[in-house]
Amino acid sequence: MGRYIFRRILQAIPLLIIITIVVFALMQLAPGGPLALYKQNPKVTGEDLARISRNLGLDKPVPIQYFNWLKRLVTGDWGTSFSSSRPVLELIKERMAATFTLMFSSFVISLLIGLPIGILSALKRYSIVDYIVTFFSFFGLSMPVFWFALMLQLLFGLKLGWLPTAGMKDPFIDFELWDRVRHLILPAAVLSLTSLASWSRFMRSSLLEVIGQDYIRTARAKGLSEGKVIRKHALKNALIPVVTIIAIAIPGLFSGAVITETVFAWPGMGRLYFDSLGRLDYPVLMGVLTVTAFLVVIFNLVADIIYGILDPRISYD
Amino acid sequence: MRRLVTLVFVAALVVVMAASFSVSAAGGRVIVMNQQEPNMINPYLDSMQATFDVSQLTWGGMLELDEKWELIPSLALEVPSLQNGGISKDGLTYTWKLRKDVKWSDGAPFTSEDIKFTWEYIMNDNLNVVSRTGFEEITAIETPDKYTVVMKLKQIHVPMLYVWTGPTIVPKHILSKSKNLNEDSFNMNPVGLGPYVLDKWEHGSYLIFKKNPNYWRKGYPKLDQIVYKPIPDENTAFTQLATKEIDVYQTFPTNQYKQVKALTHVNVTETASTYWEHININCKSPLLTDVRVRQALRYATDLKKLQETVYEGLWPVAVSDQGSPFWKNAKLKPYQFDLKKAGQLLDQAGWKLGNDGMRYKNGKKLTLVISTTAGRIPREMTEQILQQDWKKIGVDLVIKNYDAGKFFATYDEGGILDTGDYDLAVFAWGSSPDPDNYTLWHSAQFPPAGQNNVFWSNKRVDELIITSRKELDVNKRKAMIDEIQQIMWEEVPMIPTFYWVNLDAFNKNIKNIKPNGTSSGNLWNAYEWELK
Amino acid sequence: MAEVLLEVKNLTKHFPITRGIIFQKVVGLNKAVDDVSFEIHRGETLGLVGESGCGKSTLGRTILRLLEATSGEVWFEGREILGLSYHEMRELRRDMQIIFQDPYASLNPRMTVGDIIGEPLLIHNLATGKALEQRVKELLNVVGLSGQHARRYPHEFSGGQRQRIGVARALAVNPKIIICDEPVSALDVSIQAQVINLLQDLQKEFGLTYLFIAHDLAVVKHISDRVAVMYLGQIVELTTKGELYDNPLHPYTKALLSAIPIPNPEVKRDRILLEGDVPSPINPPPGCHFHTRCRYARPECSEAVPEWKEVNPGHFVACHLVK
Repeated sequence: MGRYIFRRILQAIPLLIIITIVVFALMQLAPGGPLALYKQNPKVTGEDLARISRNLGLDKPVPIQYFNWLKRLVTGDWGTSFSSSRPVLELIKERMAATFTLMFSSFVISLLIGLPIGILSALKRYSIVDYIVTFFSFFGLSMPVFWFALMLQLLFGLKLGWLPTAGMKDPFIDFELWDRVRHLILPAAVLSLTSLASWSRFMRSSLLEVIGQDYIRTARAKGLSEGKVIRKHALKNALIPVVTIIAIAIPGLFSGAVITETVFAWPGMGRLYFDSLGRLDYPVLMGVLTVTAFLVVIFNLVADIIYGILDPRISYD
Repeated sequence: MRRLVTLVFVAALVVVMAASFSVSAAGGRVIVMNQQEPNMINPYLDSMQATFDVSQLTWGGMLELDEKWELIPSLALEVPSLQNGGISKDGLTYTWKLRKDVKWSDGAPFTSEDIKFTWEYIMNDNLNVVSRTGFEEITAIETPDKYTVVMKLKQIHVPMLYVWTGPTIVPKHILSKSKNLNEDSFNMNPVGLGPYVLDKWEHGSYLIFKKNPNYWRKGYPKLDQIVYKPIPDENTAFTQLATKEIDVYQTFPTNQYKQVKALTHVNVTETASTYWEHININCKSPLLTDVRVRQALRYATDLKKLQETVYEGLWPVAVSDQGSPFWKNAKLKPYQFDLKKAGQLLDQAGWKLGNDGMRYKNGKKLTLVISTTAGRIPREMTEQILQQDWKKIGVDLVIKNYDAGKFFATYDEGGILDTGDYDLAVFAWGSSPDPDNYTLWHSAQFPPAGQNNVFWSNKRVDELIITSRKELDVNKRKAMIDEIQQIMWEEVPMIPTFYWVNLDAFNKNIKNIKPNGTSSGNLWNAYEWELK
Repeated sequence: MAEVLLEVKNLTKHFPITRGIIFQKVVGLNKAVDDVSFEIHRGETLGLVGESGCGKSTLGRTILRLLEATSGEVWFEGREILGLSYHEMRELRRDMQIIFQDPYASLNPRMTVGDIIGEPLLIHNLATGKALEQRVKELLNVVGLSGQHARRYPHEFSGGQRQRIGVARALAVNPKIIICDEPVSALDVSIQAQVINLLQDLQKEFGLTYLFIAHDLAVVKHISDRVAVMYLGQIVELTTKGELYDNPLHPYTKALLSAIPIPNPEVKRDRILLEGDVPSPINPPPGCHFHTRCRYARPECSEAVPEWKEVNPGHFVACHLVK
């Protein structure tokens, strides 16, 4: 197992490099460039633009720009933001905690709510409960995030006045757990909506598939109680694909965070990405995307490892 | 068990409610919202309004631009002029008298050396300054004493005063020691001359400013704290205003006008802006070289309809590129919407109506492409209205919109505007209160050299632009600027449409609000803000 | 004749066919098992034969209450078991076991073989700890596997070995009857005989009773004492093995028998080919279900349901042609 993980990590390095090359190339293909922003100021002359371009290293050929970026990355220097001239690593570090808090909470919410309702829905297949759950899952999957967020803000912020409508903390409270939780509730609810809905669907279909298997009949024939049949035989097997899908889906929460963080003015990496995209701040975009690619690779590995642990049929050596 | 659950639930509910009531604003602080987060607190290195706003709070300048777009002295004792001798007769020497006993926020004295250093700082080639316009005209700065600054100019440069207006001065005693000016921590937390200093910056969340204890205006600022809070989403910003989580909602979109107006605890202000919306006409395009065609298009542009349907009747109709009450040519009237006249002009230009109701010349159909930044709904609506109206005079208008990045990209990056890959283009320019639009209209400024992306050249206008830049007599200069506007009115290198109006909402409990439509922004007089 | 161990009376299992998303309407019935009656004697093997989809597996599962019957009765050792409570039924599962067709799907992939075989012992409090381990080892030996196999997972075994594990599992609780639901259909022909021989040996050793379900008569012939032939949810003929193979009465039985390959190429036999597909059990043909494919069909066959009658002692058949 240890060797397997080590080998996978080694394999991930060229993969990550290829990803960064592709991402860098795609960014160059994006219309316009980082200088477009300055152009909206009528005072800016062609000379000004040439000077800025030179200082940012944009006058060099694209492959050289990429190579310089990679060279700095290897030494732990993620470059500096075009727009704020601050080190990218610093920008990412100060946003990371916020994003992970949000991602982790919605992960937990999706897990604690999504899986049980998926199980319930599978066990009560074709019952009213199942139809209601199914209806809300599809509702959750198809609902525009913006709209759902706005409705929650209007209801819990404006109408009821229970929760703050945006931000991560009250500017005048230094640290207070309750203050943080209050700010977290709405964005976490919005971010978890999609994953909650889809995970409950996964859980439902996976459990249904397992329940139809002969070994579940075997278990019943053994004289096991129904509850034990489900817990001991059905769930354990049904969870294998669900756990893997969830592990792979976690980095997906990150992409969902881009919208959620923007709507709720949440100071995370998703928002940093959104802001930087508007300015085509290449170094920041590269930084955030590299982190994302890293997450994807890591969680794929985690998924494989979990699979190996859960399913005796899989072995890695 | 169930009773216990209920009890816990009720208790949680009570805590939530109690906590929500306890969040009421204490005295002496105002929370200002802006869509974007500042990149830094240095207006030289970044062109965002948010960056300018927070620089207004912390930096100082020799002059200020007030809400009437007039220059008033700030760290200078008076505005230099020919009359008071601050500007020499030949216009090549500016002499500034500085206030004494002014201190930087760290307590160090402010002197003429700082002005001189600021100029050297901007001219440093390694610094990523957005624009050096104006600074480049200075050849030398002398400091005969601690409170006198003498500037020598290469040539007459009338907008020189604006160069030193607003947040402009950097501290020599800090930055002269800097190893890397671009990445210096000064850019994030400056030592300044403004009424406030940065207390805390939670990146992505907010910036908290506190009183500058060394501020030179005695008894100011009045507020203890100003919080600057970026909120990217408009709906969220509105909700935050409604829940009083923010006190100031800056430049909200026109479609929220009624909603915001309906809130009883805020005042809505409508402030004329220096931005003006217009339709670029590509004079390089073979279909548009004939001035009669350009005039016809202007006659066929129904500004009244656009004003009502697109801008809720809030934005005033523009006649020229000058929005300032002083510089606008008062004799000019907007073209009256007149499709008949437009048709006649097209006839004269040789574009005859075909059987299909469209116009043809030498067998070629009059098809024009109009472009703007995709997703800007008012501009897209404008295009659609023009498409319908112009069809009536036989002009086939094709809409082809681009991502903002592509649209505004530089010449080298293949930008739509700069490469002239369009017939008509809808967008806005923001002008400075000075009327000089050299980069926009001078024929030497075709991209990539400058921003004349209508590719229009007019000898007389070139001449007027150059001479007006050197004319120190305001009235004589005004006559020249009037003439430029007159020529552009006739030649139609672009169709001016509307002056922007900034819509801002302020909590009614804030006193001394003086919204400023120039780049000075609403925070220019934040030192005076006070709570009722 | 030995005493009756299991008696099935008029057993019926219908699956409703529904339509509609929230308010469901029953639009039809899948008559998988339709009014079936027979009995099994202690120590015998009753073969149950029929084509795929005829309802034989459903019948087996309904008897064990792995599916709930629509109507009818099942008597086991003098007790009617369809009416037993959930708990009573769980107790009874000790006595009634099942072996499934697919040795790959019927073993929980996440449990070791030892756990799979040992679980029923735990459930019924038959053994724990060391005794359990010992018993599992014994069972593995009985079915021809080694005690060391207990720690392995099902996927580490071949199909035949897995079916042996399935048998060991069924055997663990010392059942009185085992329903063998096509236990060898999924196996290679070479392995089939081994498993069947194992089942026969076990029957002798432990005095077991089998209901042996299969889709071809060849397999059933080898192991059964009596054979029942099923077609579209109903038993059409039931008699001793010898009688059935020597003197089949129902045209369907004849057709099935003619399909058995004969090892001796000298012997010639008319092959009766069945025309058409098996009709859908959702709307089975009226009268005798078989009349649509029967070469002897007469008008009355499509009108009246043939009576289930004892033609010779112990030989039952349902056919209008048999008087």
